[in-house]
This record gives sequence, C-alpha cells and structure tokens, in this order.
Amino acid sequence: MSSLDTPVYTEATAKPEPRQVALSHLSVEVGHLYMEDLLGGEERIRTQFRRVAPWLTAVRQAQAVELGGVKPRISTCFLIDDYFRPDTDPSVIVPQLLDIAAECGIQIDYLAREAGCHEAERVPLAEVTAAMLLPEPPVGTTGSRPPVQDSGWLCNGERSPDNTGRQAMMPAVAWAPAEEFGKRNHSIFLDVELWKDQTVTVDGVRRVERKWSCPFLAAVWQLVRLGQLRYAGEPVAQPQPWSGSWPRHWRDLPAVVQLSERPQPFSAYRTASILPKTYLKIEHAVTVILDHLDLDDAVVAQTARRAEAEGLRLPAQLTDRVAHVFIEPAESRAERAW
Amino acid sequence: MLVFASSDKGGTGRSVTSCNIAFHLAQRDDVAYLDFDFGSPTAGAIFDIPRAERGIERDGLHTYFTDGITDPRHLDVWHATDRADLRGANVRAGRLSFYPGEMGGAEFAISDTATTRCAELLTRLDQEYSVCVVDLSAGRSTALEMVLAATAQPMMRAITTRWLVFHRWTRQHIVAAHGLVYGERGIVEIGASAGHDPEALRDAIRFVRIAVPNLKEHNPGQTAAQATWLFTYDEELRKLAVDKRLGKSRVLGMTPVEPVLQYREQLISDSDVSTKIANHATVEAFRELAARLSDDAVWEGM
Amino acid sequence: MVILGEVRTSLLHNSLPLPRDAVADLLSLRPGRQVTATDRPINRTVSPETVIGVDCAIASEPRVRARGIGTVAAHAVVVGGLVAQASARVRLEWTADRERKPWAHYARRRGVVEVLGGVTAEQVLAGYHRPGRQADTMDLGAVCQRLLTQVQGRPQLDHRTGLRTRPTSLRWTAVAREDERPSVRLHIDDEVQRTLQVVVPPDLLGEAARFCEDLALHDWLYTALGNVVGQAERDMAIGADPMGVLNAALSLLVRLWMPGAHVDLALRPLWQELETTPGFTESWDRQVAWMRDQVSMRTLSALQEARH
Ligand SMILES: Nc1ncnc2c1ncn2[C@@H]1O[C@H](COP(=O)(O)OP(=O)(O)O)[C@@H](O)[C@H]1O
Ligand SMILES: [Mg+2]
Repeated sequence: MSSLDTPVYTEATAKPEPRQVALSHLSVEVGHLYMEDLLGGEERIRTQFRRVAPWLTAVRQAQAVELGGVKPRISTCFLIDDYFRPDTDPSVIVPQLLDIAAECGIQIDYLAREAGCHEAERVPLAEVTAAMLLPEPPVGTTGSRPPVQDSGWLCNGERSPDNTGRQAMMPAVAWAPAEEFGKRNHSIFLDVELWKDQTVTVDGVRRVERKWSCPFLAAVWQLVRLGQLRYAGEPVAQPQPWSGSWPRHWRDLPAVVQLSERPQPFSAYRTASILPKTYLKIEHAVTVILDHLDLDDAVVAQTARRAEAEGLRLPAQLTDRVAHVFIEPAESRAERAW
Repeated sequence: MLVFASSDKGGTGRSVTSCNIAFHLAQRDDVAYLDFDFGSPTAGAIFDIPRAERGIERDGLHTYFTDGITDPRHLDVWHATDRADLRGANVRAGRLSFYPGEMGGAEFAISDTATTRCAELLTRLDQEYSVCVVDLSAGRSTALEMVLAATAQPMMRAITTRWLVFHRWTRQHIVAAHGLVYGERGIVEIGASAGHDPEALRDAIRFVRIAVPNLKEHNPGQTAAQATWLFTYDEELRKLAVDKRLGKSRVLGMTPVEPVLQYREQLISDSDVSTKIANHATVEAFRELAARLSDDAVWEGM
Repeated sequence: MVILGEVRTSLLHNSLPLPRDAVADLLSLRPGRQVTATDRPINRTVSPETVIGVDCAIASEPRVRARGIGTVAAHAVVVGGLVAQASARVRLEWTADRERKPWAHYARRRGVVEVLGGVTAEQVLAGYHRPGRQADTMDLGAVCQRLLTQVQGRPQLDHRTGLRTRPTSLRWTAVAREDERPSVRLHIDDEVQRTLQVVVPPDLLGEAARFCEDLALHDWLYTALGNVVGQAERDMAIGADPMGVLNAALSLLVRLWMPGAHVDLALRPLWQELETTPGFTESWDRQVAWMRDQVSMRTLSALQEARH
C-alpha cells in the first residue's frame, strides 16, 4: 500500500514515531544561479563559483570550531530553478555546471530541483508545508474569528486596515500604517506572497491551478535540508544516486540527486547558504515563513533528542539553525539591463 | 426544510405573514426564523421582543456575515416575547428560535466568503430545526442573490428548499411578482446562473397573495356600481395572474385583509380571535399556509 | 497546571453511518499528517491537530487583568461513523514576561498559552466556568465550531439529515493536583451547554481531554435521546406517528453507548462517580426500554389490525 493514495491509520494508542533521516552537522548550499545565468555562458557560472569557494572553506572552518574537536559531517548542495523554467535541458546544463564547480574546487554532493520542493516523488511538499502555516495573531485575537490572513499571503505584522467587504453606510475605517510585530522602535513590515491561484481550462474543464512563489519553495527547501518534513511519518525528497547520462527533461530526474560517492547525509542539523546578495529579500521572506510554521512536533522532538545524544547544542528556534553568506552577484541586474 | 420568503416590493406583508407561518409551524415542530432583511431588520417587533425590536446590538446575523463570528445570537421566542398569551400557551410546542439582525445593520457586499458562510449556517440549522424560515429583503437584494448562490452549493443540494413570493392583490404587485420570479435577473435566471436547475427551481416557488379583499362579504357602505366594478376588476386580476404564471396551481395560499394587521405588525394568536379582536379567517389562513407549506403533495412538480 | 477545553458534539451530517475508511478520509484535514483510529470496542477516529494563534484577555473571576499568548490546539473526532466532535484546548503556563516574545517561541509550543499578569489559577478557573463568555476573552467555542463546520461541510458526506438533533457544547477544565484522587464535577447549564471540572494527578493531565470528549459524547447521546422521546410524545399527543423518529434513534444512537470505553484505565473511576450521581447508564437504559416498548406495542397493534 502506498502512503499516498490511502489514508494511513494506526491504533491511536500506538502512533508510530516518525521515521528518522540521516543528519549531517551542516548542509551548505554552494551558490545559486537563475536559469538565465546558467544559460548565459560559462563565465558567469565560473565567476560565481570562484566567489563561493573561499566562503565554503570559511563555513567549514566555522563548523569545526563550533564542534570543538568532533569531526564535522558536512554536505554540499545546489538548487536548480526548474520550477519557473522547466523548458531547459539538463543534459546541457548539468555537466557544464559540475565541471566548472569542480574546476573552482567545489564538490557538489547533491543536486536538487526547485520543482521537487513543490512535489517530490508524488508527495506534495508545498501543500504539506502550506498546511503548517500558523499566522501570528494581532493583539486582541480571541479565536472568535478566522485568522484575518489573506489567503496566499503571510506577513510579519499587522496590515493597514481595509475597507472592503463591509456593510453599506458604515463610516470608513481610518488609515493606519502597517506595523511589524515585536518591532524595535520602527517597523520593517514584510508581506510575502506565498502562492497565486489561477483558473485554467484544461480539456474544457475549469480548475484552479496554484503557482507557488519562489520564497515559499525556498522555505520548503530549507525544511527538507533541515530534515523537518515528513509525509504520514515517512521521510520525503530523499536523495537518489544517478548514474548514466543526463535526461533531456528536469522532470525525469529525482527531486534530490546524489552526485558524489559516499557523501555525508543530505539533511543536517543546520544549514548555511552561500548566495548572491540578490537573494537577501527572498531569504528574509523564507525566515518569516519558517517562523510561522506549526512543525511536526514529533520530528522536532526527535531531532532535539538526537542532537542531545550527540552532545550537540541545537537552538530551539528553527531559523537560528539557518545561516547565510551573501556574496557579490555574478552581474548586477542593472548592468545586465545595459 | 428551508423556506425563503421573498417579495418584489417592500410593505407587501412578507415579514408579518412569514412570522405567523413560523409561529404555526412551531406548534408541533422546531422552527428557526432568520431575519435576512439586512437593510431593515424588524422581525423582532412582530414577535414582540422589545430588546430585539429593531435588531440586537451585537453578534447578530450581520456580524456573522461580515465579521466571521461563528455563533450568531438567537432568542427563544416563547421566552423572549412580551406577549403573555404566547408564553407557555402550548406545552407541547416545538422551539421557535429567532435569529435577529443588528440594530443599525445595513446591506453588505456579496462575496464568496459570505455565500459559503450562508451555506454553512443554513446547513447547520437544517440539521437542528425541522423548518427554517428565512425572511429576505425586498426585490433583487444581496440577501436573495446570496441564498440563491448558497443553496446551489453541493453541500446544500440534499436539503428541501422552498421559495415563497409574497404580493398584494393589485395589478402592479402581480406584474412585479412575475418580474421577480421569471423576469430578467429574476430568481429563476439568477438561480440558474448560480447552478440551480431552472425547472426544479421554478417548481419550488409558490406565490402568496396578501390582504386579498373578500368581495362576497356583505358591505353595507358599498354602491351597486362599486360592487360590480370590484367583481369585474377582481376577475381581471385573476386572468392577469394566470397570464403571468401566478395562477392557482402556483399559489400556496392567500390571507384576507386583517384590520389588526393594518394597525400593528404582530402574531395573530387564538386568543386574539377568541377576544374577537382579530378575524378567525386570518388565523385559519395562516394555519392553512403553514400546513400546505409542509405538505409535499402541494409541492410536487407541475 | 491547568487545561481549559471545550468540546462541541453533533450528529455527522450523513444519512447513514460512514464506513471507517471514509471517516479516515473525512478527517484527513491536514495533508501529510496522520489520522489515528481505534476500532475497539467501537471505531473512534481522530483528525490531526490544527493550531491557531491567540493573544487576548483571559476571563477570570473576580476580574483581574490577564493576557494569554500562544496557540489553541484542536482536533475533530468521529465516533461510530456517526457522531462528530470538535475539541479545542489550551494548557496554561504562567510566565513572568511582560511582553510578547517572537512568534516562533509560541509557534513551537502547540496548545500552550502563556499567562501574563497577576491572575491566579483559581481565578481563571472560576472565570472560565461562569455562564456566558466575558467579551473579548479567549473563545475556544468558536475554534470548535469552525472545525466542526469544516468537517460537516466535507464532500465525503451526503448532507442528509437522518435524525434532527441539537449540538451540545461542553466546557471543561482539568487541574493537576499531586496526591489527590481523580474527581469530577458536571454541571448542566441549559439545554445545550455543560461545564465540567476535572482534577487529576499530574501524569494523567494529558488523558483528561479524552475523558472529557467521551463524557461530551455520552452527554450528547443522552440529550439527543431525551429530545427524541419528547418529539415522540408530541407526535403521539396530536395523533401523529412517532415510529419514524423512534426507529431512527434506536437504529442510530443506541449502539454508541459505551461510557469509558476509550478512556485511560486510570480515569475510568471518574465515570463510576458520574454513574452514581446523576446516574447515566441506568436512565439511558430506561429511555431505550420505553422506546422499544412503544415500537413493539405499535407494531403489534398494527399486526392485529391487519389480521382483523
Ligand atoms: N393580511 C393583512 N391585512 C392587512 N394588513 C396586513 C396584512 N398582512 C400584512 N399587513 C400589513 O402590511 C404592512 C407591511 O407588512 P410587512 O410584513 O412589514 O411587509 P414586508 O415585510 O413585505 O415589508 C404591515 O403594516 C402589516 O401589518
Ligand atoms: Mg419586512
């Protein structure tokens, strides 16, 4: 029986522990390129990997210091943007990418697809993550009303009051600025679009199609790397070795491909992402999303127990386990526009 | 069973008549009365509930639709009414629950959320009450559009739903009632666009003629010419009604002119009749309307 | 340690009891999260937990300014493929904080509400059990109702009413006390509202919710049966046939009566207390016997009439 097409039951008294995944100490994302960059010639790719390499060394060292004598288990990974550009050819892109990385002294252990953060081996990861959203209540939220969160949006504060959907002949509500929760003196208010629903007609049948946003998929990506997602207790998006030639379509690849032989585990207690600075706002949005999730508490507890057994210090807050290094972009957008 | 009370015009007697129908139904069944006349919530006055005369202060139906509360307030008419003759009059009566709107409440924009909430509320109450009477606003209103959309939702398909259209016995009223049901952007057209089967919807609609004068009654102040004119004109209205598809087979019933109601909107109880204040024929008309409303034979397809 | 909870109970909106697989499907409210089910002695299926955030005043008696911040946990339960319950609860934890912490702190403590301010546990318990909710305080009832509405609106149901019944709501508190025998106090506020106070040893606090859900189920069954008897008597008084409602109730409700079946062994003595006063099963049995008598008498006289 597949866990996908039938609900799984267990006796209530004996709900099994979620299955464990192997964990490294650290998962390092070694750069990120838009599909246009990948298609835009070797030089762009080379420039970025050259900039990533010294930081990768630094991140490894930092992890070693943190562990104080224990040999660090570190794996590297790289995410491909195939969700928004599935029309490109992996058999061209992947070999080139891997060659240049190797040339710059970067070994990529795992190659992952962004579309796999939407759905990996038929498990709807994005949907599973969306069901974990736990919006932050404004002061005065009693539970009497459904959360005011607009469907498809998540923010880190309270929006400006709006005047839609009210009764006729009612005085309009005065304008007030949006406000960040827990701000320090001033607000940095962020409202993140998580998805967009579009009605499409396929074979004469109208249905709603959901397009997940880049920050939302990036949040799923972090959760997968942190080993926090399960589907009915089972691990998801597990790396699969790939041998032979690269296919012509991204969808023919597993969500996470294992590239090197006997690498450290893909998922880890902590993550570090070395990214061009253009991703700063996306990662800000990712942080907001990760801070507003009702995680599977059995998985959270299990991870904490394992860390303790290993003698590791692990911050309780998920986003405290996520680190970033922002580097100079391959070519700024403004320059490219010229 | 859900009963929607509509009319093209205001002041037809929709609220008073549907309150009286609910009152009679509640003599043996659990009944809910919902005031969806969002522009002017006044059914509280008809039940003689002083604290809800023009709606209640908070947590009424308006807030349920616009603000997302889960439990709109309701009042037990038998307890809340000021009329001593209704309280405890029938020890075997069912419940009569009144869901009022809000004081100062107004019409609101229709939205998918409001429609869904409407379907949820009506489904929930249908599980609890044998009959829910929903008093809509006059004409092509938000309330009417919303309930047409709500009742077309899959979750509500299995619920027996009946539509009443109230009108006075005049030329204009007959034409207007016809328009509300069969006309452009009328109940059938809007219902069909919301997903109703237009034929089934049409078969679930009956007309109620309000305050129809009794011409057979001896009227000493009337001249012979007047009487002849009235008879002729009454006959013409009958023909018009048939032409406009408001004829006998589509009529649930009628109410006679009731002097008490010309002065005061209220429930007419047996004690009003026994004290000779109200006419026996009026109570009988309400009772008959209530009986025919729940008689499936009356509602078989045409 | 204190838990506040509420359970709303209603008949599942379906013409017939739902088979066990369909129930599991019905309660799969969160993709990826498990539905749990027990089959003996009767099927009881529980949805995954849902959570919502709150930050509001906490009711107390006498009124003291107190603020609660955290999350309400709720789940839906279906028993025997027939009765739907929504159950919401919070565990209160007192804190010396004076302000709200970053949300992630609360988000990772499912079903915990931190209490800020100088209110005592006794005051909160008294405030929670007062009839009618103090305005702008935590509203577990609404959380339950939304969940129940969500379940009742699911496409697995045919939305046909097999028997007209009234939903009931039970507000409960559980207090952990060291070295005290478990005890229970049930109060019937009105036709649909009940309050329940439970005292248990600390290690059994987690089991209290299940006991309260079980009690809410049986209280609802008891109430529903009482209403059926009332309806039957009303029908008989006006010469109408009460067989429809009697038969529906007998075939749907009676087999669900199993007080304590799904309750932790250590808490079953609480049921025994309630069986002594007010006494549930004995009067349930008497009502059922009355209904069966009516049905058999009527069947018998119908048979005799047919023979003449
Ligand atoms: N059968 C009747 N005879 C005389 N007056 C009536 C009758 N039915 C209703 N009325 C009166 O007509 C007026 C309008 O009735 P109401 O129920 O308020 O109308 P609506 O709800 O359609 O606006 C009220 O004053 C009411 O008492
Ligand atoms: Mg009116």
